[in-house]
Amino acid sequence: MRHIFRDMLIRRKLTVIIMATSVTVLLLSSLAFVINDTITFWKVEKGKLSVLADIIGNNTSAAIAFNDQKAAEQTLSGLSANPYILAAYIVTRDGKVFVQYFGKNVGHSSPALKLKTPEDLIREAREFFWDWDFNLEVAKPILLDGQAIGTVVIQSNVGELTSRLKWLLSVVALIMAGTLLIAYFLSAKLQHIISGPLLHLTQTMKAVSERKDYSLREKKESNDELGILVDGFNEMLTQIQERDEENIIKAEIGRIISSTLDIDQVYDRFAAVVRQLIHFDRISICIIDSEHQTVRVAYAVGADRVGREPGDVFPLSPAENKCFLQTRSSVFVQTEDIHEIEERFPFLLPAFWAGLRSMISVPLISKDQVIGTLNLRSFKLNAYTDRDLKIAESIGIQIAGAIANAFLFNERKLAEEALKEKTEELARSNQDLEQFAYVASHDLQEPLRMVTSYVQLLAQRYKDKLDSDADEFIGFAVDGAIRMWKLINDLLTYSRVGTRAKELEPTDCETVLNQSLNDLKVAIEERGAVVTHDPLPTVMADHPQLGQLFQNLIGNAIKFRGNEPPRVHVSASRNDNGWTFSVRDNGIGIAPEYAERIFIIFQRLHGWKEYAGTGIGLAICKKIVERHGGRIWVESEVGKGTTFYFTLPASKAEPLSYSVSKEGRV
Amino acid sequence: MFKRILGLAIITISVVGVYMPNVCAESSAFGEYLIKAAFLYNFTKFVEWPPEVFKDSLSPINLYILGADPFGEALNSIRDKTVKGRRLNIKHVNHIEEISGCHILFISASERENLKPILYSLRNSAILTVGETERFAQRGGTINFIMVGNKIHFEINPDAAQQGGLKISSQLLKLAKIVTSESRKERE
Repeated sequence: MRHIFRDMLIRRKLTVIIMATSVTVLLLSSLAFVINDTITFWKVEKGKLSVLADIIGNNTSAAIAFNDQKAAEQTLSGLSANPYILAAYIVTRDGKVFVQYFGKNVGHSSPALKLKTPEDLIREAREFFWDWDFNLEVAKPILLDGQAIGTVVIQSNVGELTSRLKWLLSVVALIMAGTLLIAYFLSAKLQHIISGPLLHLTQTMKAVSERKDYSLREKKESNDELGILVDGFNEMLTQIQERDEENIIKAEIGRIISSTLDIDQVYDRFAAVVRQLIHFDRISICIIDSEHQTVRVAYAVGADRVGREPGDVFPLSPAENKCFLQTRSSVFVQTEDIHEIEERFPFLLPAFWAGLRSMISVPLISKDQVIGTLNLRSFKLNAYTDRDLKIAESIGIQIAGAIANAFLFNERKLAEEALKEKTEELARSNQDLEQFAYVASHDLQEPLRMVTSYVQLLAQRYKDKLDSDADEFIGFAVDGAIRMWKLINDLLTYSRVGTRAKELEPTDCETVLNQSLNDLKVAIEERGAVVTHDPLPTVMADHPQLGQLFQNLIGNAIKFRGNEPPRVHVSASRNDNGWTFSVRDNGIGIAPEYAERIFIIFQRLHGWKEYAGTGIGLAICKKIVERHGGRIWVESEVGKGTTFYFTLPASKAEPLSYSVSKEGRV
Repeated sequence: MFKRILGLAIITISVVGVYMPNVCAESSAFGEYLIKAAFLYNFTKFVEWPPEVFKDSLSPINLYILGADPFGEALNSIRDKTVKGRRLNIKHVNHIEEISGCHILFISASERENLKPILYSLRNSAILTVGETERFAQRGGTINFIMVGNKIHFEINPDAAQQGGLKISSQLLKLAKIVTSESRKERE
């Protein structure tokens, strides 16, 4: 039942409530009316009967006093005028019936009615105001000279009462039916006052949630709770609408910010969009340099009289420092009292002097660093609300991120530019140096050749013609000249790696290796060396330089031989980036601490006499490999042998999986 | 039987005071006078004397028995009872001259011979005269006991009462047989 009522529409609920109330009130008042009427009627009847009894008592007192039953009977017979009287008795004080009277109708009108004894009637009359036989009993004492000489008992049938009750109840039923009908129609009409606006509100709510149109508003029609409800609903819609717009604008800000990394381009568009959210007469963004304690105006629009224009730098005031850097709180001040500004926010004085009265300053915080402030100003007093402050704070977070990113971007850009400049400078000086070395070594060749030729000529012609010291001195001079020539030659080769380079092109390594071995034929045979190789791939390389590389590495392997006859093996293996070549020997090996040093130009591990060489060979190797975009390194164990590794880019045409195992011998 | 009736009467009167039980006045003299005594007492309740006959509101009602007393012990049943706040004072007198202060005068049948002068002398006095002599009321008495069947009834002469300034309740008149004075009849 309760459940049914709970789920009922309010329209129905109101009707039910109104009807229930009307029925209850009507029933209760009808009941009260009927009861009251009955009691009143009963009282009146009883009163009438009492009066009658009194009269009879008065009129029969003499008859009783003089024991005259006839006279008493005669008096009683007067009751026949009242058809409702069933019985009347006069009872003497000792309880004996002196005379009695029975109504005419007693016999036939209600045959079931049992006549009660006078004693019962007296008891009923005295003890009960009402009893359920619907008969009224009255007993009154008969007084004579203040003394009761008997009792008059009258029993009356209040048939009138039942007929009256019937009539009353039917009238009540009729009134009730009529009233209910009217109440139903009235409630059906009146419930519109409450359910109408509710229904309309429900429809508006549905429309809002279906169409997502937050600009809809419900019309307020009364100032009661429904009016409050409508107000609240509209207020809610306004807030949702505002939030909706806010979100759109914030998204727009985000889009603007992310569209470019150049912050200066962002500011203008940012300001234009912020204007849609918050009114301002001046907007500015200041960058705080906490290290140098300065404030730089990064952007400012409106209210020129403030006198702080983009690019201006001011020292950070203690108040600003405390406000923004230490407490990191927003400043929200709207006042016309200059003392308040002077006392609390002296840095706002220029704005105040310019006539600005409402000011919001939000610290811009990025990565827990206060980087600046976003400032909104208005000439109007109390132009801003707490909500504006909140919006300012939230867009402050957005712009702070953008500014921080721009800083980072600028820093990186600067660093990149510096690096590029340095690299270019380095390359230029390197090139100059190479040019110098080439030119120097090339131009040195000519005089050296002359010195060498003439010293050799001197040695041929004047051998044994001068004394032995002279022969020895000439020998030293020839030797030195030859060494110098070799040095210059090697230097020339080294510098040529950079300056006289050819385009990289697919090069068959086997061909190159064979040529190199051919060049080294004398040395190989001299030392009894065995050089083997795996099948070698075709790689992108500068043919002469690759030959030089093989020649230098194999030459070294033969030169730094141990006790055993030199055995050299060349192989290549494919990996993701290209080819890794290895040149393995069984020579004297290199201590690991020298693994890096050996590739530096003019670095020699051994004396000139021990192993001849200029100390340029491996430097040339390194330069060649690097020019090809590869890497060279060494793995070695002293006394056991050395393996040089270098990588070369694969030829573009070459398949990735190249794996043949073929023993080649030269 | 007699004793029963007597006992009953005594109990009734002593308990009820004024009520006369519905017993038939039998020929027994005591029963008859017991009833008559009660009637005498009850008459006082239905008769109004002019106020000047009482000294004050507490003065007794004087009931005098003139002549031979037929009541005997029966009068004891009403002796010293009160009516309307007045005590009932009973006294026996032998001569009409002794009746000063009297309110009810029961004239015994023994005075039958002197009735005329007695009634005549009481003609305009506020004394309720009660008798039991034939034609007592017609001759100027106010109330006269008579026997109807075997019941005691009474006659009242309202004129006689009126002449003395007595007011007799209509209720009492209703119960009585109304008679008129002979002399008036004669006059008329």
